[in-house]
Amino acid sequence: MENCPNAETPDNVRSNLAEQLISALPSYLSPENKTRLFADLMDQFPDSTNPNKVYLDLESSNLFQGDCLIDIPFHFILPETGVTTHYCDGIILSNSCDCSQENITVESKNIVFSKIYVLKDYLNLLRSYPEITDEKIKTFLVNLKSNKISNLFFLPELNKSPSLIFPESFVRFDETSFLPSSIISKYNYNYKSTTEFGDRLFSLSQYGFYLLVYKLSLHFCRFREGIERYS
Amino acid sequence: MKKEIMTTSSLLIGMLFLANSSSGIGGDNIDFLKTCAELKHKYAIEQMEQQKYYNYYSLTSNDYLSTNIAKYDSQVSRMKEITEDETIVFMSAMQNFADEQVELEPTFQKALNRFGEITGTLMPSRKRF
Repeated sequence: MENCPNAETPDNVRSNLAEQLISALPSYLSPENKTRLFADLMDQFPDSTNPNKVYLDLESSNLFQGDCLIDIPFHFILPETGVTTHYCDGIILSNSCDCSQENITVESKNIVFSKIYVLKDYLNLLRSYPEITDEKIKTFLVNLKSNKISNLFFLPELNKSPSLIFPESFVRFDETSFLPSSIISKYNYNYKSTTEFGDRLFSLSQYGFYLLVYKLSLHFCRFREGIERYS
Repeated sequence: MKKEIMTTSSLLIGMLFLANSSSGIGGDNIDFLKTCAELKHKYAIEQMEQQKYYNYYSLTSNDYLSTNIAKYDSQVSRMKEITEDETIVFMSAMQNFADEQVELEPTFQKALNRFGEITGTLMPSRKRF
């Protein structure tokens, strides 16, 4: 037993477990990247507060699920004024294949976005409500940053020294819009930086993407809805 | 996934017993190879090929194998229990996260709806369409 390299030690048990969990991660990843994603999941999940873990410039001419573009039109309806359109940052909810320029059917598809809100501005508004205490705001922030609020997904600040590219924000999944891919192709896919103009603010890293998709599935897809759909 | 965990654990434990069997026993090695084949795990096979030190090809006595297999089974059960427990812990963390999802408080939701009406700009930064 002493000579056996695979002796049943706690380390080996953990190692075996890690191996199994890694095998459940996306199959297209190289073993090395699977390991990296697994380490990030164990270290970060379900937080999305570390920009170095959440964002990544993919340097591609394609758009991807989770990319953020500026100037996306979102509509809302007020009884007094009817339909109004505002232009805001939006995060792509459509899957990456539907966004790909290489996809020959892309001309006929729409790209779906969710609206992004700047956290600081929202907090300022919250403080104007007398019934919302500081304690409640504190609880809200904890829940938001650990992604526990069903329809919201937290996005950390993104700096490209010396400029702030993107402030602390959150996505609201229940506020969406869409644009035809032919219109989206008129956007500048370059990343906004201190030296270059671009309409894309960020792409998500493997971990950020994993988290977004998991949150999306929790918000939109609930197998355990508790409704018996039989007559 | 469970099945796969069982397989990996089984093989690793199987290796423990093989490691103890450096003394030659003699006879055919078909049973042993068959057992290995049933395990269907590339890692273990590679390990066996690499670690001649353990002298696997001498593990051919049916009596010896049956003793080992009995031990092996009990160890597999134990390991299966351990890995399942660990897996449950991990999967529970994912499930807990799902279960812990909360709705935004009504006042916060009301404020967010209000915020939606005033956030953004009426015109894009440049004309694209």
